[in-house]
Order: sequence, then structure tokens, then C-alpha cells
Amino acid sequence: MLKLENICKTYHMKEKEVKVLDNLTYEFKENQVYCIIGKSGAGKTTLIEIMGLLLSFDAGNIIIGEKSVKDLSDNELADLRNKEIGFVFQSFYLNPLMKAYENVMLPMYLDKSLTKEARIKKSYELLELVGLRKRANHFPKELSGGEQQRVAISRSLANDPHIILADEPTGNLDPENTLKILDILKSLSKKGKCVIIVSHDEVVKKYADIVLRLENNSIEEVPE
Amino acid sequence: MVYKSFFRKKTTHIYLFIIFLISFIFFLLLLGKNYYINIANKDYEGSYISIIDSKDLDDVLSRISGIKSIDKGITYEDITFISDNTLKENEIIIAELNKEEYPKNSYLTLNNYNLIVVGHQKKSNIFYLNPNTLNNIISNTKKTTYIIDLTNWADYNRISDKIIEKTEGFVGIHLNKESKVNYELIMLIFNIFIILNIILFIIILVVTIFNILEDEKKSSLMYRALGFTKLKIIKTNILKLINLFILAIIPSIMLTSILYFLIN
Repeated sequence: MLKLENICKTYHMKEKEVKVLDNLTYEFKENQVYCIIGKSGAGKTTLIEIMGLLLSFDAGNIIIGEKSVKDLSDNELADLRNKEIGFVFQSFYLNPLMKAYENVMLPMYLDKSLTKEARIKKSYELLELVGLRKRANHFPKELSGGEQQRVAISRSLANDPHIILADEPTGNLDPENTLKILDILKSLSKKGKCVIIVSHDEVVKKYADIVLRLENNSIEEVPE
Repeated sequence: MVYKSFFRKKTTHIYLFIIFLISFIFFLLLLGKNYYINIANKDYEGSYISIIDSKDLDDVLSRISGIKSIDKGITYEDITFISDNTLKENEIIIAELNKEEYPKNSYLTLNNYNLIVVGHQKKSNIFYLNPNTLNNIISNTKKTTYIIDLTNWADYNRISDKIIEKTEGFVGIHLNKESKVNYELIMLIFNIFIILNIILFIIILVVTIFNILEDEKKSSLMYRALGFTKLKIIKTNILKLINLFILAIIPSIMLTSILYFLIN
């Protein structure tokens, strides 16, 4: 599903170099929930941005499905991101001036084969999946934190990606909504998706099938 | 949808209003200036600038802005004669100044030619003759007289200075003004306000573009994560700005056009 091969990433600052990832190799599979943990500054956000093709890496390769990303152009990377990867952020990152269904429709905007009616229909179906069909015409400010995150999850599923990347998806939520979100993410993995969550939250670890620790520029599975 | 959300923003509404207001004021100023130019031209009706020169001035004069029309004639005994193909060989159009002495259908003798007065025109000391008659009456001069009408008589000082600077011939300024209105001052005031308006518009333009792009930067990570390329994001932002300015400027043009038709 998503294979990391010898990924290296170093940040070059004025007089210093900070090596964040060093020959990191791991394969993420479908039908699994992964939780990546690590100390602050270990490189979790860097890793998730690299996996999400938002950040370039210095060496190594990423294979998504059968596709090697190493030699892809910016346009091809963006296309792959649009079709294969769904993002869920801690701060939701919904457009505050778009209604819930419009936010869900946004990734579909780049697929010119879909008509406007088809996009609207699909966005309503995705909101139904997270129990928010009735709130489809509400703006984010009219939704609770948990509801906003559910809209964000619907949006991440817009193009039926194989991979869901979630960076602290429950970071801004209360315990009740945390569980709701994790239930949804778990159900997505059961439907064949590869769900990768970066989180400090102990509750998230319990939902994960595999817990990975990012430490010393590398990654390893944490035994149960 | 992306543009819809941009136009839902309160700040976008504010920018729309400000740009509309400034562009409306700009077009109003242009309308006002044009209004006074028309009044000035009516007031100066019959005025002209003359140049007597043996050289061909067509090229030089074509490069001076503000010239509405150029007639060429020959000056004989303080009168400039311009050929007019529509006149018969015994017909003449004279200056309105001479109307009392030579009313319509009266006769005028010129170099033993008897000519019938068929009309009058406002420019003083200018007569119109059939080309053959003109050739027969006056054939000894090598100097052409250029009779120049201007597009904006409120600006005649600047244009005449330019003409004097660019030509070597004898330049005469023949004014036929009825009122005492200082059109030059009025034009100056309009021009100052127009320039100030343009400067203000540029400042607002820069501030608006800067603020909008800063705002949009905040959502660029989201758009990139959803699969938008950097180029697509830039194109979208540019189109948002273009739409903003079009939506602000078009109503101001329409409103000014309505005012123009109401005034005229």
C-alpha cells in the first residue's frame, strides 16, 4: 500500500544541519490502523508530510500502490495526492466559507469527469457515512469540533483514497468526540483502507493495530 | 465553488466596495473633465491656430497630440483661403464676422472674380473657395497656411506652445471665446484629482492584493493536501483578484455611463 524505502531527510539551517529521518524503511498495509508515536521533535510531522507527498525527501523512495514517486513531477505528485491520499488534520482545515457539503466536494473539484450533480450527491453520501447528512448545509462555525472533524474525514474520503493520513486528528476534541472519530477511522481500515495516525494520545494507541515509535531518525514497531 | 467561498468573505465585500468607490470617483472625474471640455469647445467655437510655413508640416503636426483637424489654405491679404470641393467655381463661404457686410446671396469681388456668398462660418478671416477658383485667384505664394482645430480648447496654451516649439513658421492663435471662465484652471483641478485618485487606487490595489494573498496563504497547505498544485493555487488566486476587480469596476462604469446619458 505505502512503502517507505530508505527515506532520508535533513533540514539545513544557517549553521546547523538537523537530520530528522535516516534510511527509514517501512511498509504500511491496507486494512490496518497504524499509530505513530514519538517525542516532540522526533520528526512525526515531517514523516507524515513526506508520506503525504507534501514535503520532499533527500534520498530513498516511496511506493504508493505500484507507483514510485521518486521521479514524478509536481503535477503528478499532486494528482497522486488527490486520488490516493486523504488527509485529516488536527485543526480540521475546513474552509470556513464553504458549507459542509462544499468542503467535502473540494477534492472532487479536480476531477473533471464528475458533473456538479454527481459531486453533490457523493458529498451527501459521505456525510451520511459520518452521520452528518442533516448538517450538510451548515458552515463549519455552526458545527462542533467533533462534527467539523467528521466533515474533514468525509472530505478525506472524497476520491476514495487507499490511504488516510491523520495528524493528531483528536488533538482538539473532547474524550467523547475522540472516541467517535477513532471509531470512524477504525471502520475505514476495515473497509480496506490503510489508516496512519500520528498521535500522542494513549486512547489512539489502543485503537491502533500497529503502534510505531519514531526515534533516533528511524521507525520501529512497538510490541503489544 | 472556490470563487463562491472567496466572495462570501466579509473582507472581500469591503474590498469590492472600496474599489468600486474609487473607480466610480475616477470615472466621475473623467466625466466631469469631459463635460467641461465640451463646454470649453463650444465656448471657443470658431477659434483656430494658424501656421504659415513654406515647409510641409504634415508629419510634424501629426505627432502633436490634441489636434482635431488640419485644413490647408493660402493666405492672401490677411485672409486665409481654403479649397472646398463642394463649392462651385463662383461660390464662396466667408467668415461670420463679415456677415453684415456680405450676407448670403450677396456678391463679393476678389481679384476681378465675382463670387456669390453661399454661406458663413465661425472662423474669422477664413474663406472657402472652389479649388480651381483658388488656383486662379492666388497662384504666387509658396507658403501654406495650416488652420488647426483642437480637440480640447481648454488646453490650447499647451498645444500652441508645442506647435511653436516644433515648427518654424509664423503661428497665430485666433480665439473666439465668449465667456470669462478659466478653463485651464478647471482642467488643472480635474487633473490633480484624477492623479490623486490614481495614486490612491494603486495603493488600495497593492494593499488589497497583499492582504488577499496573505489570507489565502493560510489555506494553501489545505489545498495542497487535497491535490491542488502550487501553480493551480496561484492561478486560482489570480483569478479571484481579477474577478474582484472586474466585479468592482464594471458597476462603476455602468453607473457612470447612466450618468453620462442623463447629462447628455
